[in-house]
Amino acid sequence: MSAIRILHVDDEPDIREIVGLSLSLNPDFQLRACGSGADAITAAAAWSPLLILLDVMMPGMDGPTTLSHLRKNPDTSDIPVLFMTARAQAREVEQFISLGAQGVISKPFDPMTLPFLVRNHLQALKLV
Amino acid sequence: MGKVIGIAEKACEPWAVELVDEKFRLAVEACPSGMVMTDGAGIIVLTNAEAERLFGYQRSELIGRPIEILIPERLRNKHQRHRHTFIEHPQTRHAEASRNLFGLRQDGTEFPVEIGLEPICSRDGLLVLSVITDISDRKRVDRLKNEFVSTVSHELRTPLTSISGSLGLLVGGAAGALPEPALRLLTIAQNNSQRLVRLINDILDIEKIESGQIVFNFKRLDVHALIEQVIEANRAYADGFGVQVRLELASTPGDVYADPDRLAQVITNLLSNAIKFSPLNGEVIVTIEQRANNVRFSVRDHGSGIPAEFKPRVFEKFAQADTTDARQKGGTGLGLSIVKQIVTRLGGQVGFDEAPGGGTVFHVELPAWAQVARQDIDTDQRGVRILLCEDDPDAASALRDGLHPFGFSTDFARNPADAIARAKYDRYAAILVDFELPDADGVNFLGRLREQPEIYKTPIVILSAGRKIDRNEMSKRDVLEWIEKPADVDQLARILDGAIGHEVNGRPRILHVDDDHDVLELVAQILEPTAIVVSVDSIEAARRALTTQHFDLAVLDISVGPVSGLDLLPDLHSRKGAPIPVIVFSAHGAELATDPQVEAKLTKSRASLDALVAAIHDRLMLRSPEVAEEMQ
Repeated sequence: MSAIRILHVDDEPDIREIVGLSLSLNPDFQLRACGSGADAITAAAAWSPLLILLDVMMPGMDGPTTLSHLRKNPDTSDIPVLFMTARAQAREVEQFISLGAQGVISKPFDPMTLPFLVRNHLQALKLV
Repeated sequence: MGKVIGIAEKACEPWAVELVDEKFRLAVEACPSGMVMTDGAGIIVLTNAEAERLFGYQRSELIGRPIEILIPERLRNKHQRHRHTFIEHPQTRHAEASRNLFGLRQDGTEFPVEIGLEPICSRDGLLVLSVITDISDRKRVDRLKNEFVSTVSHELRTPLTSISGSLGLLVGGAAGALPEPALRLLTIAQNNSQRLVRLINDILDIEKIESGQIVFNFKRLDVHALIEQVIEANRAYADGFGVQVRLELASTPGDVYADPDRLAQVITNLLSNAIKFSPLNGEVIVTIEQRANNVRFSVRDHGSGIPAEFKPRVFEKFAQADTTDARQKGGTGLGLSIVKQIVTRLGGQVGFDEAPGGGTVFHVELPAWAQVARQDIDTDQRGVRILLCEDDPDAASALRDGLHPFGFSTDFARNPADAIARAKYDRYAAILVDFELPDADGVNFLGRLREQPEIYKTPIVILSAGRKIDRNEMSKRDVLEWIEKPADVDQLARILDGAIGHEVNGRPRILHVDDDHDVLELVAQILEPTAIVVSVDSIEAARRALTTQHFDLAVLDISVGPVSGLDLLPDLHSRKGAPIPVIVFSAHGAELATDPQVEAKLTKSRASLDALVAAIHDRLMLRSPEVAEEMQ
């Protein structure tokens, strides 16, 4: 089975490292991390990940703005995006979905179950 | 009844009366709150210096004027109703900050106020004393506090995500096996980081509820099923404390009217409290019971009970009977405060009692759906049915009563979610929207209404007390009209009549085009009790009818003499350009009608007249009694 490419975007280096360690528990996942929305847009176009995990509150370009840029570029417009954010209200989740995200993973997450959660989302999206 | 000012009369000497009068006058003048006294008709008869300062008027400009000049125009109607109710049932009303009241200064600016009311029986009849406090500063401080809390919470959560994530990986063995003492210490750290997360979430919840940022999505809800789900979700938690949770049905509960997520939070909080404070191998019993107009559920534990001195503070923030308790039980001291806030917003009540045989029982009462629905569905359904989205029940009832004589039956929706649900379930001829619903942004709500395929073209009239929306926005959302509140019912009825084109008796008008006179006559006969049917046997006659009359629906035969009835499609629109829905009823070729305006296609040989009538009724929201019963 070929590697499942996942792009993780968060401005916090510690959280990037934890997500990296956590997702490495699943050997099928191949992870790349970006520290800003701008980097994510470039990386997504160049690397074509199967899924993007996107932080919501980031300095400079926030998650929703990053998503709208991704959706405008034909190379990245179809890549599913899961937002990672502090416990979101039902209404905020709805809002994220209406922006074009496929789902929301709440923070803080349990790093031991995160790989399963991501896989579950991928299965629901019929990507694996 | 109110107090009787009789002290002066009790003093028998005239000099004593004067002295007492003087003291009263000075006390009123020196009072740091604004005081305004009105007579039974709402005319100002007395004010003090602080009231002059607050409102920017001279005393002489206030005495003899109606109290409403001190109230923003958009709230005057509501105020008048409240004033009449108060005069009918005079009793002391303490100041409440939560009522969202505003004062109007002479220069036209508004300021938030808190008002206490005191009825006073005097020789001149009932007087009302209003004690008014300017709470601008308090509101500003609240806002700053809320902003501070939400910023701090976010800033706290970011490092916490890293901490609990790192600990989670270590404890989970992602970095290899750890010696037992290290694992124990890390587990303690992990548990406490999770507790910190819960605490921040609770603080944020409280702050959001208090500042009105949480939108409540009210809907009809099976409370029994919800409670079962919550119990199931908390099963592992209960097991951790060695506690059994049992559900008992005292009677079959009906549905309630509430927000499912928020209600689940209430049940979770009560349940986790009961579990935490149960003895090992204890039992928590959840009971559901249908009462007259509400549904009551109770959560009973067999713990040590609530100490008497703590009882008055149970629902306060960070209240815990014993602070060492909090540390042992891992609580935040906010759970019950959240419960109280949510239940109040849901229109219910929460309380607690000592349980017989030890322990505590918390109970929550919520309005039953049937009760809410009874008030919301117009019992007089002879008129054209319209939907009114309005949160103020008094204003809603007043409008319903006002519209009855014009042949309208008005159902209520109390919030956007309710309105969308109702409008999807039932066809309404028009929807009236209060633009200042508390849990909604008006423009956003309009957008959501228009997204519903069932109501994308139902006429919408906006009732607004303050904000005007611009014409551009109105036409974008296809808003028919904007009316200032309080709505003038004559004007409203005229607008609705124009939009719906209904007769005074509320019958819709149907254009039936067919060259078969037997079919025309049969259809007209069947529909006569519920609709006005204009039957024509040619396209020309149909076009003539369309220039003089408004139609709600057209039934077309495909072959009308030598031409196709579908040729009429471009003419079938209202004066405002909205397409008139079409049902094709034809011996052959019905399937050729592919225009989206054609809402139903029936082939004469296969479809009976009953099917045609059903299709017509379906499109004209002519309500059958069965549907009415189901709604109850």
